[in-house]
Amino acid sequence: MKFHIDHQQDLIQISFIGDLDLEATELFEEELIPKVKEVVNIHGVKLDLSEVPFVDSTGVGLLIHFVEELKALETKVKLENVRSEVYELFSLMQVGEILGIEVEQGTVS
Amino acid sequence: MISQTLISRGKDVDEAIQNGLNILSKTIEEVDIEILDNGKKGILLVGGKDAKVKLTVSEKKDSILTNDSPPTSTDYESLIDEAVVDWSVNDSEEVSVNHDHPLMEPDDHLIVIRDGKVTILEGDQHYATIKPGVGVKLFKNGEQFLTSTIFTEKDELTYELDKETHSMEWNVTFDDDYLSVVCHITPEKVKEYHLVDQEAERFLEIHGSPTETIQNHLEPNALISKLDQLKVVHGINHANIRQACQTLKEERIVIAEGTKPQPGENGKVDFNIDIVSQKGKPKINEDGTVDFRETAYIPSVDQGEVLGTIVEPIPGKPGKTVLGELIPPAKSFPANIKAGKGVEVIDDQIVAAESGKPQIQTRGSLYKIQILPTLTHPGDVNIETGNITFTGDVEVHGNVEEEMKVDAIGNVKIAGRVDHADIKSGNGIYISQNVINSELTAGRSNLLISNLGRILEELSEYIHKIIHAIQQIIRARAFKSSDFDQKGILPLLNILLEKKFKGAKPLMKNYVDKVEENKELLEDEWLTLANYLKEIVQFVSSDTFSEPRDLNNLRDLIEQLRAISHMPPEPNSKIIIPYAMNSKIYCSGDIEVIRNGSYHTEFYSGGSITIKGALIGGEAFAQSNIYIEETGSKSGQATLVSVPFNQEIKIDYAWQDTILQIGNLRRQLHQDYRWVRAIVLDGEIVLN
Repeated sequence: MKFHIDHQQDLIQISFIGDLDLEATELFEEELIPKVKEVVNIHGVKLDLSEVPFVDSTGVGLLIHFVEELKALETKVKLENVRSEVYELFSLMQVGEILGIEVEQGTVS
Repeated sequence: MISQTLISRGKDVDEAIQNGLNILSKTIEEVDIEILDNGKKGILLVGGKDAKVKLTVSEKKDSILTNDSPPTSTDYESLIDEAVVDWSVNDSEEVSVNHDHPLMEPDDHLIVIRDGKVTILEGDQHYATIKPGVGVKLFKNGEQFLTSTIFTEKDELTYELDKETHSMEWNVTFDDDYLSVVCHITPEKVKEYHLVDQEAERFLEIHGSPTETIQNHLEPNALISKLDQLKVVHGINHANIRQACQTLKEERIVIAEGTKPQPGENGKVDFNIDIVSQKGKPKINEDGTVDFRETAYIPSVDQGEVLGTIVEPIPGKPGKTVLGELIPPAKSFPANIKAGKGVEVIDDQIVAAESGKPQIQTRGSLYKIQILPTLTHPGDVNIETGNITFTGDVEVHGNVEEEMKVDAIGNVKIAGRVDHADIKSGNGIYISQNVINSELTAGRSNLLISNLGRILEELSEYIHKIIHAIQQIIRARAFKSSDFDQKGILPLLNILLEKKFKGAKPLMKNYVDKVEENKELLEDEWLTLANYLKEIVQFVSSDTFSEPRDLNNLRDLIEQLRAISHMPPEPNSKIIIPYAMNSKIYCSGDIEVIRNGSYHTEFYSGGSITIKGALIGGEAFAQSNIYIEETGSKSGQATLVSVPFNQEIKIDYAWQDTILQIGNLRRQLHQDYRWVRAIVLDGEIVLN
């Protein structure tokens, strides 16, 4: 998995590319979280999942953990462009309810 | 000349004459006619004026009156005037009067039905009227009509008879277990109408009369080949197949039946000693005191004595589905022997390693056997003697005084009084004098197991739902199970417990805590489950939950323990006391207050509660029935008596302010009742 950060004033958009799974553990823990923590004064983070076709339970766990870190920084978080298959899975697991954030389904799948 | 005169009315002169003739039963030749009014046609039946004629029957034309003694003409006139009917409102419906002798009135048009043929007989007076009834469609000159219609001999009447056909239906279905095949048959039903012969009438409602024919076209071969197609090979019932092909009513017939598996028998222990007498009651003297020396004889055993023989389980017989597959019988479990202190198992023999009193407790296939010594404490238990904690039975010949504790694995018998004390027993508590400000607990492990059972009750529901949810998730298209190899299913479980099954984690924690507090009272299985649940709660990765299937083991263990918690232990604990005040009394089995009732005391029983005397204030909860002589008091003491839904409460005299609770229904009594027997009927508590 790869990610791409787009930083505009106090908004950040992070686009993920590839499967959100066990193998993404290092990426989250060693790159993404430290990098986001460096940035001060972020008001909102949009996580774009349009290029994420598959997830496993560890991957969902990483995402939950990541969002919780962001919320601890008093940042508003939104999941965007979630593919319908992944969206279905998130609904089954009630990810949106766990995080208390908005999960937006993408138009393309 | 005596003449008969009639004034008759009609829409026009012709009709007026005709109407008059009808009343007089004369033909036109027999009367003289005087037209009084020609009448006027109205527009759309409004504003018209009737025609009026005067008919006079001349004597020579009258053949009837000549033989009779002649009445005066005025008499006749008045008679006939009364008989004048206002014909102006007549319509075809109202003419539908049956004639007594229709054929004697040849002037009317008449309809006759014979052998299914409708004939309209010619007449020059009334026209025939026909109305269609059930089961038949009528056509006048080829055109269907639905209401009363006038026919003349020139009109042609044709008809079509209705026919209702419900064609035969049948299907063959399995039950859920493939243990039976049912053929559901609805035979063919044909309802045909035919015309009934009818005598000549001027007005006729023509209807068909139905005949029903029922036929079963099913052939045994069709059923057999259907069974063949469904691969049914076992338990085909040919007699019922024939029955299915013959039946003339809608029916469900079992045409093949599998064989149910026959349950075997669990292993057990055949005891050489009398364990039943351990359940015996102490003798109650006439004055109400209790003589525990007369408690049923409990045998002692000598070292080396064989207490019993272990009997192997007998396996059940497998059954067979109609598809010929074997159904394994429920597994028969061997007796689970917990040989405690002083007991050894040698091959299939249970042997006393020490001399003493055997204590045997069973719950399902679990047997706890130990040989307990008896500690006899001759005086009071007080600060000087210290608390008593003993692995065995304890007999105290005196009182148990303030702040003292007695804790025994076996029975506790106290000959004196218990005051501000704490008594715990693994089995029964028998106290001869009053219990004041004290706490009694009998059968702690049983109480614990019933509490754990209630937790498992809820947890079991969750675990079924969780397993279902995981199956759904695994089937989801975007789900990768790649991390199961390394991390197992705990990460997934953790996500589900976070929100979707939020209630499950506190239950698991509760279970783990309760088990850890009381480790020494529980069997290994309870601890094993606690360890599993601890892994989930604390999210410790291990091999226990490496794939979804492993949750089934967890579910099975929960179900097994839940089933155990439902089984009553044998013999169950018991508490017998004469009187209690400001106390708390817990017992996994029955509680009996045998003399003076209680005051402000809380009873909890896993069995039944029986109280002689009055229960004043306080609460009594039992899992089984409750019988109390008297509840509450004259001064209106709120007193709660509670049992589960399917149990009953009996009270000889209930003072007002007694509160009865059955299941979750409550009823407070607002007056005194005698001979109360309270049960739940139609969702409310009724007192018989």
